[in-house]
Amino acid sequence: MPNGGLISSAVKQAPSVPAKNLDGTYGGPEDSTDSYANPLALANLLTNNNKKRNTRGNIYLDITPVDWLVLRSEFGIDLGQTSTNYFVPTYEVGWVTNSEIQNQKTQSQSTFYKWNNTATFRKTIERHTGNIMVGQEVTESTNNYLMGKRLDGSNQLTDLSAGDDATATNAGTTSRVRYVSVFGRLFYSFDDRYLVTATIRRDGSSNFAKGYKWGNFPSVSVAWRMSNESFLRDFELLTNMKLRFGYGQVGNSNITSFAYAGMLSNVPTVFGTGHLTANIPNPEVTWETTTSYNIGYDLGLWKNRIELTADLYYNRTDDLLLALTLPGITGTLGTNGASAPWGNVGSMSNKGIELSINTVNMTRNDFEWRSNFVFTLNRNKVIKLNAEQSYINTTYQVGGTDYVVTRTEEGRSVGEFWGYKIVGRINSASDIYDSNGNIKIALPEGVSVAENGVWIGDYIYEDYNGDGVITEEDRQYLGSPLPKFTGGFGNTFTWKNFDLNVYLTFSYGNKVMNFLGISIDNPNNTENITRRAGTQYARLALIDENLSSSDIWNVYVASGDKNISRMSTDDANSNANRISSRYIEDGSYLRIQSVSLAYNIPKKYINRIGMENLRVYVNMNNLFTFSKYTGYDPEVGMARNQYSNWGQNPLLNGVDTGRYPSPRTFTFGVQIGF
Amino acid sequence: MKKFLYTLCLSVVMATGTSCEDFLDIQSKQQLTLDNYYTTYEECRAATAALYQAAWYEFSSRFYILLGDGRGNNLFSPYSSDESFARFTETSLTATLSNAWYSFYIVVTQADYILQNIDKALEHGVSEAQVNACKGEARFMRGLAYWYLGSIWGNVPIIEDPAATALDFQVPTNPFEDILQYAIMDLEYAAEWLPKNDATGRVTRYSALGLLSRLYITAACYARGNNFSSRWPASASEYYEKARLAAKEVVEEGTNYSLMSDYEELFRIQNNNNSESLFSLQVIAGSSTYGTGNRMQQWFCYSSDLVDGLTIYGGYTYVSGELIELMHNRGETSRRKGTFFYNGAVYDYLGTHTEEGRWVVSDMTYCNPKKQIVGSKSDTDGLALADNSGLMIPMLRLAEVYLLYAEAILGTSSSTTDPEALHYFNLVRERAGIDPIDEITAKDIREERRVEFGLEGQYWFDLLRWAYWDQQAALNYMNNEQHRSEYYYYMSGDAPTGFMWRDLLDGQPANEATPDRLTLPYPESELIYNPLLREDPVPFDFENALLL
Repeated sequence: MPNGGLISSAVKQAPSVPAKNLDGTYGGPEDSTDSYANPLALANLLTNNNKKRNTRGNIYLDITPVDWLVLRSEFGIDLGQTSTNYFVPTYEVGWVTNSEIQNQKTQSQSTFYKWNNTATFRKTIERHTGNIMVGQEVTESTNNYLMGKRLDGSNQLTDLSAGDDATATNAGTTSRVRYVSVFGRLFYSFDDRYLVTATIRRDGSSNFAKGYKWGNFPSVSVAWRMSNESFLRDFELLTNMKLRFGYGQVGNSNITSFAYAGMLSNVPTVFGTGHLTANIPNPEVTWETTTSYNIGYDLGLWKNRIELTADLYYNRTDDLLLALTLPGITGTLGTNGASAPWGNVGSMSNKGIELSINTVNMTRNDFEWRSNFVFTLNRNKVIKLNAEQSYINTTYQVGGTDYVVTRTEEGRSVGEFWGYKIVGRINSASDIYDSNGNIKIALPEGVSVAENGVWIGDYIYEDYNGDGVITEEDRQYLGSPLPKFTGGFGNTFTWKNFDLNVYLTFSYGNKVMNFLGISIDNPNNTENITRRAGTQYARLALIDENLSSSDIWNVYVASGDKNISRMSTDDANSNANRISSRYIEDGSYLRIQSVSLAYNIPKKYINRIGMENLRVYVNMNNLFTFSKYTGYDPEVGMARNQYSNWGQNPLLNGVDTGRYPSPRTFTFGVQIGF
Repeated sequence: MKKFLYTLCLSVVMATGTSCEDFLDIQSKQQLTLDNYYTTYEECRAATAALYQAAWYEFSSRFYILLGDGRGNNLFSPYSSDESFARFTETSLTATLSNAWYSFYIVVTQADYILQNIDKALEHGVSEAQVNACKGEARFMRGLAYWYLGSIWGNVPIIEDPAATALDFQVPTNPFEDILQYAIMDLEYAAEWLPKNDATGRVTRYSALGLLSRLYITAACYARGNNFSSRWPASASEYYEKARLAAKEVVEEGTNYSLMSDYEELFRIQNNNNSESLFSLQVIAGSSTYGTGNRMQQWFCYSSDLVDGLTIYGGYTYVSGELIELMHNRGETSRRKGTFFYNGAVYDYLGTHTEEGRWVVSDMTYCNPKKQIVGSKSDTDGLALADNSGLMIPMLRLAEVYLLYAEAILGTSSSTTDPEALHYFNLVRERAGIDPIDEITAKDIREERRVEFGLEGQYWFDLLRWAYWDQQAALNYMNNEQHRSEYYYYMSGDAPTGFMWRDLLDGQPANEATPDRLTLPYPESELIYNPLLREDPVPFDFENALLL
């Protein structure tokens, strides 16, 4: 596909291109600078689909030799098959042509099995209830991938064999990950008032080298059901009251296989298969451990008409597993570079409160109104980093160039946005020069005041280190992608056979980096851009039309949005491709997550035709979002790590790289029960 | 029951014991491990094979031309930020700077890995000569990468242990003179150990000597400007003499190599690895695997008809008026036609898929690049793909060694009539259909190189080495004689007007060339990771070098 995906193609396509011409053919760009084919045409011409099939099975055997002992052997298997089909026919859409059919099919088969054996001892003696479980588990997941690709052939024939044999390429890989665990659990309850659960597990992972494969993860939780105490039993209004304490450790070993070993990648060369060093190994990489402490309080009043759950927690993650990003001098950036190592990079903490309240507000005749409210407040802090430096930079790439977008530093929260702060725009020469004719603002290094340098209509950056020149040393923290708090509020109204449910979610205080803006909120871009960049850029005008346009005192910004820079092919001031505060936006939102209305047909009508229940409903998801964010969707999540190709990167949280926005969906449904 | 518990405990213990360790020990079926590698000569050669294109990909896909020709002002792209190279307006945020940086350091580090590990092959019966020849290939590539790095950025870090650098990547730069000498040592080693003959496409002793001659001349120019510190030999004539000897051996003894008779034929994929190629990036023609091809046709071709509908983006990249004027005034024919398209030019080997069966250029306002354009599938025996033209990218041609030979003989003199110098210099001219000359000056060499290697990424480096010995003259030339970003007319050779400047700039004049602007800014992300790039360079410790 020319220049990237469908969404970015749709966004960047010139707006003058019609979806369809009057004769019914697809419209296309007429100008050779616009290399984006009509996205509608592409969507219809291209085949790009993905089929998944999954089969799960589970079988177990219980033996109860004596009544206080259960032996169980359980085997579970999950078979998956994914096939993809990518077919690009030849086409001509305006100026954009493609004479090269691309046909690529992939098949991937995955097998996951787990086998565990447990023995559970149970005993209840008067008010003492206890059980002990010991067990062992092995799991293995394997994946087998096969790809075939050919070019050319015929638009009508989409089978691989119809392509040109001479262009055929293929690939195939297998992978295998294994875990072994042994574990034990002890549960004890006295009179259903004092409850203790303790577990210990020892997990081994094939992802680590010998000597680093195993981790031990204990946990203990204690609960006191106060409502069962005699001194509280008399309170009628009290249905449930429980105090909980928890401590536990969990491990994470989810990294690429063989990160501990030096591997060689296979590279096609004219001399046959060549081998490049594939990665910088880290033989000492091992389990990441998260230790949690938790105090919880459950309260139920008036037969649970009011239920409250409150938790106070402190989680500490040590030996945080992360695929590092390193500078280019390590040979780990760019096509065919080695992968940077995985590391146990440091420790961080999350602490906060979780609150959940369910209430029945009103029950009157046929009418009932219930609410639920959840609220989470979390504070994240990086405790220490095991690197030579006390910070970790994380980059994201656009057009082959890596930009550092976040920095993670000891004492701050993880993955904070980090860049230049814009403190204004040059609207006239007096924004550059003071009354003595001296330059009063800091200019980017190596750039001087000139039309092809810093000029009217360019941004002014804060000289953070005060050295009089704008360099990378003037980068500063620009905000955190982590919200101050998040939550949800739901209300359910039931009247006779109708019920209406409205659920709102909200997030407050999180920042989003509108990374897509680097291309589309950029007046210098010849592709389609945002309306404000296209029409509201800083237009320059001359004070005296008879005088030169290269005399800066004769130039001023005549119109345009005060936040958009001028047009300039060079952009020596890097208005567009500098990671700056202009791309950092408030990502707070209030979303109408779902509204659903349902009607249950009364039983007296349906029982006659043999149905238990019949329910008709309409569901609206993601109905509306109140947010100041100018991108598509403030709920951005974590961007994927570009180089490791390995899941989402917590240090790229809130970086909006043109993620597919959550769709608004409407569902009409009928639910039948027999 | 006790027995049962015992059995259970035993099985748990066993599960945690050795059998588990074995169960958790997994071998890759996809990739070899370094621990088991370098046991045969074939493995050694497979390691060096990957250095011939894959490692250079990010450099070769665009920067090769944008820097060498863009900064030399052989390109004109007034509507694109690529023009920042011609205008000296690059900043640390200029796109593509980092691509080149990455690519050179991929070459450096991958060569380092080979040099670190390949000695193991000696224990497995691979001969010392074979191991050293492979080291020679690795050091050839590394030396060339360092020559580029030093020429483009000046002071850069020498990386000898990439894994250690990954742990602590804040490393100081080493001064340009050390980079240059390190590169020369690499090439001297390569020249010593590479065979005189090898498989087609592999570098040989003559490739190394040819490149060494370029590097010695770079050092000679640097010495001539009194730039070397007292740590290095400072006599320009000694470097020139070394360059002369290196080039002399290539031109006299490298009998496997010869000039192609037709200049245009050099740039057709049918002539990949032709008799003139001492080193070309070994693009895999017809391969659609990303990172193995030559993408320049896609970036620089102006017409999708010319490539029979393959996707291209080159409509707005032109050849500069300056290069066109030079070619025009010299009466260049094959080199003009082989370098850029102009109205009236007819190519029998392009456009074979069109009705006319050939490509006739017309309606061209500004001239677009030709050299990297190989045409459609029909023009290329079916091998051209959209993102891989299949053309091997010339890095060192015999014609260059001829010119380097003349340049080395000229040395510090203002002109030469040395018969050897004239002979080889004129061979290059004659092949292009240009009359021989009987006296050679430095300017003659510069111009000859510019027309011979136009759009082969060389001219900026030619200007740079001029600036090493006569900085003011080179800067004056860039500031006063060059027409950076200026519009022109070209009516082809036959029209009465021929070539004409339009006396019109594109509104954004070039920055003044200054000593500082002779090197490029480090990419911003590299500066962020490694603030020591801003500090003074630290002399490289050659005594304790790991991989020399």
